[in-house]
Amino acid sequence: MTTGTAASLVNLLGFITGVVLYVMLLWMVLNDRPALNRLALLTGLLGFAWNVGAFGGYGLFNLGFNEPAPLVLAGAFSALCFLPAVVVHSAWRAVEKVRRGHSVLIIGSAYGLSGLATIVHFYSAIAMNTAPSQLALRGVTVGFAALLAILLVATRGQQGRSRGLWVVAMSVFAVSALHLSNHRGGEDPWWLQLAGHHASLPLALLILYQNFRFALADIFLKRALALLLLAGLTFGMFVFGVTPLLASGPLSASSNALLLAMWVATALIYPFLRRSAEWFVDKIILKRTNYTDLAARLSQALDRCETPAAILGEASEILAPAMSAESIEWSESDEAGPDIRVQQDRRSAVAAVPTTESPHYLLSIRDLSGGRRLLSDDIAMLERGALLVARRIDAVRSMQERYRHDVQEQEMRKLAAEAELRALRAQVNPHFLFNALTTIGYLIQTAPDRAVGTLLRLSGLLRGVLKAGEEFVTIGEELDLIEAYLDIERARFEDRLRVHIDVPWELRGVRIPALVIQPLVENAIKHGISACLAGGEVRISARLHETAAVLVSVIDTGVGTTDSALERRKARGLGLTNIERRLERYGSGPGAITIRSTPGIGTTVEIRVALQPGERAGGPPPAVASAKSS
Amino acid sequence: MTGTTEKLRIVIADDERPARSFLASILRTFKDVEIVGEAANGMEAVHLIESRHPDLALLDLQMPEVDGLGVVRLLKKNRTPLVAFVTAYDQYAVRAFDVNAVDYILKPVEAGRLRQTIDRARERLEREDFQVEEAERVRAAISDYEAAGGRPQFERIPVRQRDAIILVPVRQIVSVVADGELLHLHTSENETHTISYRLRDLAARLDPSLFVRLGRGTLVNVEMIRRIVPMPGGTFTVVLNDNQEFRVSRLQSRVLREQLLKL
Repeated sequence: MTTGTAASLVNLLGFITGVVLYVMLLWMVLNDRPALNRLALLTGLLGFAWNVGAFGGYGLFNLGFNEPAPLVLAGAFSALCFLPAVVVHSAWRAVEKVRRGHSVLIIGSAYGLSGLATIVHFYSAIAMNTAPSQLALRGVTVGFAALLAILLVATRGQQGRSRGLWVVAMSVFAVSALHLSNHRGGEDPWWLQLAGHHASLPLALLILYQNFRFALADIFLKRALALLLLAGLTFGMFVFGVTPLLASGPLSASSNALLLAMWVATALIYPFLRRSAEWFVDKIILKRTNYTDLAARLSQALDRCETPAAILGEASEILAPAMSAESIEWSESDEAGPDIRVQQDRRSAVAAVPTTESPHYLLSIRDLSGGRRLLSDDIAMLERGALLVARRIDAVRSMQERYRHDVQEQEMRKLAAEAELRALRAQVNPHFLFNALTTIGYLIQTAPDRAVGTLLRLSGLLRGVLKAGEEFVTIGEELDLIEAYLDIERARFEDRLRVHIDVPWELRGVRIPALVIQPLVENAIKHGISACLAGGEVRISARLHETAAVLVSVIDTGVGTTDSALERRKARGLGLTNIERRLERYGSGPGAITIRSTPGIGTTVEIRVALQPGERAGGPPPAVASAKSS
Repeated sequence: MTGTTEKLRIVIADDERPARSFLASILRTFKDVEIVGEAANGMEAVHLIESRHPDLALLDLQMPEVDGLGVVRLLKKNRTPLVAFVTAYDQYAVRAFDVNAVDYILKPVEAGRLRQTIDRARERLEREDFQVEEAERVRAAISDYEAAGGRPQFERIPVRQRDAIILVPVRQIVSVVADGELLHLHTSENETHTISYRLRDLAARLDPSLFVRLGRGTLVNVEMIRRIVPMPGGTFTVVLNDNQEFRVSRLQSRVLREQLLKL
């Protein structure tokens, strides 16, 4: 075999591949109803005509058939010359914002050029019996190169420009490259034949690519590419394997085995070629996003969003570019609705976000760029994205629900604590009350005046204890209350109770939580003095502690007690724990109460009351209350 | 009422003079009663009751050292008069009295209510068999009340020493041994006192970190333990400072091991 046979093989393979490709293109265009794209149809027809004509003209000639009829060749070349015009037309139409006059002029001149070339081809075929006409080819080449230049300038900054320009450039090349060969197969090297005659093959791919708005275009593109690769491989094997083999001599057993091996290898390699083609189309040509990665990225991004609106916004922002949509819009919807609704023409879809609770949301995708359609992968991804969004919204909602619940619980607990504090404050020791009444009963019989005085003291005390709302009082006010209390207790215990109060004037204006001292005095009398046959003394004193707190101590010389008895008393919920908790709550910190008690000696209770913010000791002394001892 | 001209003899006890006077002033309005003594504390009350033999004692529940209930405990059983307690407010006590049909009066005392108490006392006095029963009821009420935990811990335990009442500081008590209805208290002064108490009730009024049970009938002061000797079978024998020895029951041995002997 000579180089001629390789060249004829290239032609044969090339034209057959071309025919198949353009048939695919035609099939797709015809299937793309109702929006039948006439220009695309025309492109397909012209490409098909060129390849069939050229196959009839050159391919068969190379196989040993007669010299092709000039008229057939003229027809084929005319189809080829019309191809750029149609391509320019469709590319120009894709470009927006061009003045109508300009379009008509450019498209008109494109068709004019092609028409002129056709006339020249046929004239040459009939009059000179030669086709194609070199003059027509040159004219078309120069003319379309000029148009390409104009397009280049006119479509500056337009979207989808580069694709259209590439197509036009390729179609111009398809025509101009014809000059490279002399159209007599077997005389040129095979690569020249390939470049010269089969530039229409990549053109078909480019058109498919540019118009991949066709549903399933990606699949056709993959198939077409796989086909081209297979054809290339077969040719390569022929040129580098079979040709030297046949040149070396007659067929032997080993050469037969080699041929068989190559045949098997072709079959084995095909799946790999197909995968490569698919990868190439997905990654390089369509630049399609890897949806597994996208889903992972989406899920990560959503985890950072805290509100349904943010989640939906983020999802739209991530999904939209991946599906080459201008934007994905979301809206609220009362019903859960079907999972996904895709429009008939696959140009838009609405995906329901299946949240467990209403309000539900809808993600609508439309305005796909470059006339792209939603492929099955896209729809699956959209569904998956909607599901991710739904899950995240559910999670956020339940989190918010839990948070709300927590806040509510906290609020409730706070209210309960406040109610408890109020109840504790308002607690009147019934034992004291009934004993006081008994004392008053006695006084009524013996000293009515004192009885009235004690009664009024008791009323004042009850009012002070029951007074709701005011959590803070001044130390002076608290001491007034204690005085009232002590007056009653003195009437009851008579000379068994002695009291000494030593609180400096400047501290009497300091505000402290109400009723934190009085219960201590009451405890001192109840547990210390009243349990002692001889009675005892209660001393109340206060002093400033490091300017941030007031130390108040209540000392009694009663019976005293052991630590374990104190613990038990505390555990039984007698005032101390409550005072401690209240002091803690108002900023005195833990350990605000210290108790020292010795059996037979007495008890000392000291509390540290933090000054409230803005509180300074040493304000003007209040008019009432004075230190007393009895 | 019953036609008898004999007046009901009453002793009253309250540490608060105004309260005592108030009660006395109401009693004086009743023609059929006579106040034979007023006590300002529990010990005085015991002496008065034992020397004057009143028909009825009105005892304040809250008094220092020996309270109303303590008075009843210290009285010899055959010399216990009818008793009514007086209290300002004590839910636990009132519940125990109600359960055991023991009479009680609330402060401030109301004349009508006091009258009922007097009348009831008269009725009971006429039926002698009632009297022993009455004393039992009071003791049962005291026991119930103490079991309810409504009473403060003892710092000093009032005990009788012949006719006198002395207060034994709890820290001086080395051991308490039960003997029927009585308890024997051994002190570090090497004295033994006997009180009428149930061991369980007394234990409830002692510091649990100071006194530990060794068995059903013994309670010892932890600070008075000299040695604890392990015995075969996992029990112990406790030797006290005064050389008394006590076998520790199996159950209490375990308690001892877990509470006292833990490092």
